Amino acid sequence: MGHEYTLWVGLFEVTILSLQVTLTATVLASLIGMPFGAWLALTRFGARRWIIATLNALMGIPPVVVGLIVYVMLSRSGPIGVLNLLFTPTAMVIAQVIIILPLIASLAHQACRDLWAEYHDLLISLGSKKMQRIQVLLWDGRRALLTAALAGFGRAIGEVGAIMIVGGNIDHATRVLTTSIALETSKGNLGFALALGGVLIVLSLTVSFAVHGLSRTERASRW
Amino acid sequence: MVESIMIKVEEVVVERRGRRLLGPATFSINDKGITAVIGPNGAGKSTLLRLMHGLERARYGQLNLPIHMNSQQQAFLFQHPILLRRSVQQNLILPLKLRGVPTEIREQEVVKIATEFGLNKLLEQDAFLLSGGEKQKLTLARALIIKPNLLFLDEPSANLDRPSTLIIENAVKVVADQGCKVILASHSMAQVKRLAEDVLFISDGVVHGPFFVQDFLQKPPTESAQDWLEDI
Amino acid sequence: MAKLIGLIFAIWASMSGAETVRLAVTTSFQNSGLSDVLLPKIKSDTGIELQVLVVGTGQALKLGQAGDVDAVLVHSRADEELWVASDYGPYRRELMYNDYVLIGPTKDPANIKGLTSASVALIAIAGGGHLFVSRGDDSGTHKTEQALWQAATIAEMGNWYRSVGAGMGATLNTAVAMGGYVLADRASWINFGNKHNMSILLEGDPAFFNQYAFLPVSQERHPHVKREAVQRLEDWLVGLHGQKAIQEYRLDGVQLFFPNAK
Repeated sequence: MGHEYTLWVGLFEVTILSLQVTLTATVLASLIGMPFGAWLALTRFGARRWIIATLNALMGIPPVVVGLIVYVMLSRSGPIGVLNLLFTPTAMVIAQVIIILPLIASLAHQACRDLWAEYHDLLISLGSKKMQRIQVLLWDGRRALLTAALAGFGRAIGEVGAIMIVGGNIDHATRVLTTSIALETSKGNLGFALALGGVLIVLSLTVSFAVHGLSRTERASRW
Repeated sequence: MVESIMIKVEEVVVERRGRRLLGPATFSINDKGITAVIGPNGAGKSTLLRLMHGLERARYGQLNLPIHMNSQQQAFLFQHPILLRRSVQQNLILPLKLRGVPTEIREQEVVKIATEFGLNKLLEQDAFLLSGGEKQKLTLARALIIKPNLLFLDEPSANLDRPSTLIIENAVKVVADQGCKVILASHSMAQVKRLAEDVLFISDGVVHGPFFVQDFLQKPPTESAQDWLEDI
Repeated sequence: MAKLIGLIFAIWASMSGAETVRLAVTTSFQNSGLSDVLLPKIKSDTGIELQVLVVGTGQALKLGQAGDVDAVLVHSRADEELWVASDYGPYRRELMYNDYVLIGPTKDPANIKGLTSASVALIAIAGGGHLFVSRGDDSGTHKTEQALWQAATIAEMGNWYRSVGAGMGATLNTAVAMGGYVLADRASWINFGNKHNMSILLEGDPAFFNQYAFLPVSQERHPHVKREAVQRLEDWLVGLHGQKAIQEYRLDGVQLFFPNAK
């Protein structure tokens, strides 16, 4: 009984931490990436094509490389080591934000670009300012933006390489579902690792369904 | 009755990707009443309206609007209504929101104009679900809610049935009587006769006029004008 | 001003009850299950909340060098001595030992069961071209393995030698999946959950001796390390309580670690 109880408590702990880290990272990356994506869709300037190409390229950076770079930065021997962030959930959030930011920004840009094509003449004709246009695009495009956030969440919740390096998989401190799976696998406890994987899948699906339920995709009258 | 010159267009040329869409055009029209812009499809009517409103830029030439006109007091009705993916009420309130009009006044104005156009029962409706006629009424109401000095209409009743067309035309007449200058692109000479005092005729990007409507009908200024009158 | 902040911080830290110490350990220490047993005991006896980072020997020493942890626990004597000589830490303190074992498929194609000499076994494996999986990650285990090949005077590795560059657990998984021979520390093997049809085929060679040591990180290089707490931790590990806990740890009735702190 005692051992089982510990297992359940442990499972609860890592699940909660997984959610905390990834939800925080998703919110932060959305707060940064979505307005940027909207601004990019609205603004004409020379380097724009290059920025879009760079965003798309950044999506392809292996997460473990991001983890390595963040580690080097946060290490006590590194440039911002004094902040003492290494091996904390904050470090994991930072790594995940960096990983999913290009994805969210890119998807947000695409969504806003399509909507801008539709609203372009109207918003200019009404004499709107750039900031107002961004607000209109972000609000009216919220369905697509939610999907972008969900994509970011999905990418982050399943990530293991980067957060292993910057988090350290410390028991009760920085251990999450994915790093637990890695640990249990390395201990040869494949059954348990698979069970954890199942929990991760259920978690991911639950968040996805909850988001779509909240946004009431199937209700006819509102877009 | 001296009518001051409102819009002066000199040697204006509009190009896109090296292709000449309009011009060189030179004309002046006055700041009262309804001017119609007519001509065959693809001649450049929309381009001219968009140029005067500020949605297109002239490659060469000069556009002169009087000082009291600025884009905040103009309104444009597009051929295919552009609606926000929101409720009718949200669409109507948008121009006021963009100008920072206080909330209580905003709501009053919306109810007022919705009632005028018979939309007050539909305020909570999703704008995309309205019929064609209702959508166009909505965009006209939205255009008029800011009480513009200058109103552009790009073939507003091209896709509407007769009753809806009449409603739009009546509203346009009322607004013109109240002092708003109306520039109306139309494919229907009958509509032009009902509404306009003078016309600009465009064919192949070349602008002729303005002419009084009757003069244009009795003595078409060019061969293309004659052909066009015969066709419609 | 800085002193005031430091004072407030110290008071706050001591008020929070648990003091946190970061220790980098090797995968074999974690995979044996010993750390799970020691941590709660350490907490209740010393009040120290031990945060254990399980990495390879190389990375553990690097973390200590960078000051990202307060102390290191590894089992690679030559590397440890070099580390101390480079002034990354003041000394190495021997803590406990266990032994390595040679593991392979129970049907034992190289026929090493019953042998007592590691060298003879390795020659048989190499000679027959039988699959051998190596840690390949410069860990203590890997270094020991390399020393064994050297002692057997085998320098050329053929295609049968698979270097995976991974921790103990991952290496064992690979060896099991491939049906290959592998060198592991006894503790990790006994606690390993995926033994499938592999077993211990050779043990007891003196060369299999595996010494663990505790290395505090230099406070001169890294003033922020929790020197005082690390000292308390070290004292506990080498003292009566720690050595007893290590001695008493059993898995499947087998004692896995043998305390030998002086």
